[in-house]
Amino acid sequence: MTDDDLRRRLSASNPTPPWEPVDPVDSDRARALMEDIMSTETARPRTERRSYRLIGAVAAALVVVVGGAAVLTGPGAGGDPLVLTGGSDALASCLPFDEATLATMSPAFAGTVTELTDSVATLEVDGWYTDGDAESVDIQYTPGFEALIGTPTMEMGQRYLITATDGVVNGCGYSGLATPDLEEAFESAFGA
Amino acid sequence: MDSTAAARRRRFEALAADVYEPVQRYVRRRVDADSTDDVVSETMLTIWRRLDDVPPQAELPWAYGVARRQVANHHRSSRRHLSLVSRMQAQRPVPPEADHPLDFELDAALATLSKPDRELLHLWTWEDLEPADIAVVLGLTPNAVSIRLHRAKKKLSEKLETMRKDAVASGHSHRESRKRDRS
Repeated sequence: MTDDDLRRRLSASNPTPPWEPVDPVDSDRARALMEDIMSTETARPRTERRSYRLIGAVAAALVVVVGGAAVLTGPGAGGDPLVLTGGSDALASCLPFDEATLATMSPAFAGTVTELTDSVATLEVDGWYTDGDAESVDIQYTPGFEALIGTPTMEMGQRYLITATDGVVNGCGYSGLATPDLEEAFESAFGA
Repeated sequence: MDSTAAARRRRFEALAADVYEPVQRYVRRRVDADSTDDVVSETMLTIWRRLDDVPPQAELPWAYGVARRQVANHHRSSRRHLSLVSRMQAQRPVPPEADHPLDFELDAALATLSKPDRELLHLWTWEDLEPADIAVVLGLTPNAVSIRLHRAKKKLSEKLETMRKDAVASGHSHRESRKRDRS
């Protein structure tokens, strides 16, 4: 099947094709909405601006992950969010990244940050590589670990690949922004 | 009203004239009809609040990016309240009037892809965006989008081809068994 064939077939499945009418921008309803919106404060919500470091330092290559902080609360099944912690008071020590080590980590998933507060980043999961079926994951931060090396910075709307060990998010390159390279490494390590 | 506030209103009104209807379509394709207005309103409100961040050369893809996050928030909050059955219905918007042919084979093939892959393919076809604009929507580099889009198309084509072959084989085997029954 050529690209053109595929594009035609996908376009034909469009549930709202471009020629179907929608509420026009000059309708009374749209005008009322715009007026309402333009009367609101314009200060940007904090969660849209801030970014955080996943405080999960840790473990990684040596897999001597930290004791402590962790905690995975609840089974994380169905609609209940899985809760991981992004913090540990163990010192981070990163060795070179390798897939064999990645393959030992559990759970592992891909998800997009949909909510961000001072203490929690919520990721909507779009795929589990291993050991999970929750639809969302809350990563809780422990104050004071923002400077640890090798931990991903979380931002609203960005997609990440995350691993954890004993309920603590792994850093040192074993969790991070979902780049094609990292995605390939996850697919290779977990046989996705 | 001071001149800065008036200029801000004019900019938002001009932007809304360009993006309001496409954003409605984007949202309608991804959520149920009853929730479309709410998600569109949240999207336009976010655009108003973040007006200073709108990239001049990529206003519509940027607005789609805002809508995408609002759709994700909507699905997430819906899942907290809906039962499994109603959740499946809510996540799979039913066309208002299903007067276009339903392609069940395509739906089944798409269902085997990851959600990000499906969204890439839909941005490419339903919103008719090229990789550079998709990159703005998803916050990725155009290069990363090109690579992922290429992979997603390949996966979908292969799945459709497998399904086509299976259907042919199944039809062949069905015909053979009818022949045996007659003899």
